[in-house]
Amino acid sequence: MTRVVITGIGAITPAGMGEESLWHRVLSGRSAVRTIDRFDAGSYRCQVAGQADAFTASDWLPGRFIKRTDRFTHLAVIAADQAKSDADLEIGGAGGTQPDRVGVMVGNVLGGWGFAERELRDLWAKGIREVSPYQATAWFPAAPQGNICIRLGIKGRARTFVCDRASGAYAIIHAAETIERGLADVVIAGGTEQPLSPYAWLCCQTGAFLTPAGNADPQAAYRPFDRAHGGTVIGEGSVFLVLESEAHARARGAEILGQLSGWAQNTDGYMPYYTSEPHGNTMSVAMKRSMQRAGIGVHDLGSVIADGSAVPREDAAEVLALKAALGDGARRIPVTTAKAAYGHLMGSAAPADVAIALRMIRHGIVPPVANLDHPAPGFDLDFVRAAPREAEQAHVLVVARGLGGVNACLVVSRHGSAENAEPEPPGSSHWNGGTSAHGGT
Amino acid sequence: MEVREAVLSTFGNLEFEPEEINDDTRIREDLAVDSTELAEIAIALEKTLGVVIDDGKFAQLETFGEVVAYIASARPD
Repeated sequence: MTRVVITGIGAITPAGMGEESLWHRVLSGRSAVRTIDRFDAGSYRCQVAGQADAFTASDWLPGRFIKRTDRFTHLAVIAADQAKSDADLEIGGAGGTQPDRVGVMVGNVLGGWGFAERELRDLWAKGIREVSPYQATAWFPAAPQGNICIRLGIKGRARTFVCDRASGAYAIIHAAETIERGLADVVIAGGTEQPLSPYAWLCCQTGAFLTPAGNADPQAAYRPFDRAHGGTVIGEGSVFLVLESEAHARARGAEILGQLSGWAQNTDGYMPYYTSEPHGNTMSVAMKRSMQRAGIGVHDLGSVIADGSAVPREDAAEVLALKAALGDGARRIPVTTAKAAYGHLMGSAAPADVAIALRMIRHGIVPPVANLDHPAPGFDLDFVRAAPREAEQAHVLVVARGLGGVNACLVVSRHGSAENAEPEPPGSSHWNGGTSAHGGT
Repeated sequence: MEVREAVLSTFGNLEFEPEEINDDTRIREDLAVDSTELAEIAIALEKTLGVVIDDGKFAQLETFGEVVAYIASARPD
């Protein structure tokens, strides 16, 4: 099988510009969540968020680009630029990768409502002549994808995935499969999200996953798996990765940061209220299959980055799913979630988790879950709390999930430590959760 | 002259660089204006200069100088 490796990272998050600031924020165990000041959120139940305040679009982009596009596109094109630069990737030209062998995959949930709300307000209040002709193209979720392609001269496959908070994981999985099938040599894959506008925020409020309990103390608002968990705090940001075939990376002499060795996705939509299964059984299957695809067993797994939405029923289902997937390993494999330190970045969440997983493997450290003071009753996993923990590790399981029951799991590995296995079609076999698949199964 | 300055100012408000524009500047080739941005320019000129622009005629203008001349001829005064 073609190995899919990661050679570049770009990140703009509430922690700052670049993935290093993200890593240091996560290690600190302190939250960057703050009271929203981008709009008057005083009448909303949740009034806190992660804001990527270090990013000012006009510092990076010309005015004619900014007037045509929403901030979620501004974030995306600059994060993608960072990733390309980090990977030392040339696209086109004599020594570069052929443009039609480079793809773009983007995860996004909300689209560009900051732009759209302003224009729709003018439409109803003043009439059609007051609406920007860019309204239609600025809003739609595929706008970042198109603008990244134009800016970087990319001519290969390009897709946008809208799968709630698992959108970025879906983008990464599709990128990996595109490379594995030989349809591209390189895919710039990640996500972008800018939820800080009145209507977008209202949509999230009616989605009923934001915490109403943290307005008085924003830094303590997002509490994954804690007994005081009351819902998610979301944030804005964009994270992109450069994924490529190992052969292509080697041929161009790229530094390989790690390997995307396994992945799996499934769905467990559940009524009422468009939620997900409370028992986590289907999610556990995605976890198992991602490890199976990475060719690893539970005893090979170094740590887990959980989704950790802090929605009580979602936290509970995720704990049950991890217990089912990890078996005896559930009490000894360190579990963390980094999101409480900067907010759940929705479309960008899983790409950020992959960036963090690469650091965890490189440094042999599992960062703590910010605000996890007292795990909720029955949440008896080996959560990393209060301080980073040293843990030599070659494989990290990343869990992503969204409303309506979209589950997507990734296995990030030290380069050369995993052999991707052929995927088994759903329902074709029973997975042996305690046995390594090394050596070929 | 007054019309030229007003048109140039409108271009500036739409994030063009006025110092890079002269009468011979070609709207599509030199400024890379596409059909969407052309519509934005036409509407902005209508609003700021009180003219009524014929979309078909406006789309045929090639240079900035021709835009200025068209706007001057279209002004009610």
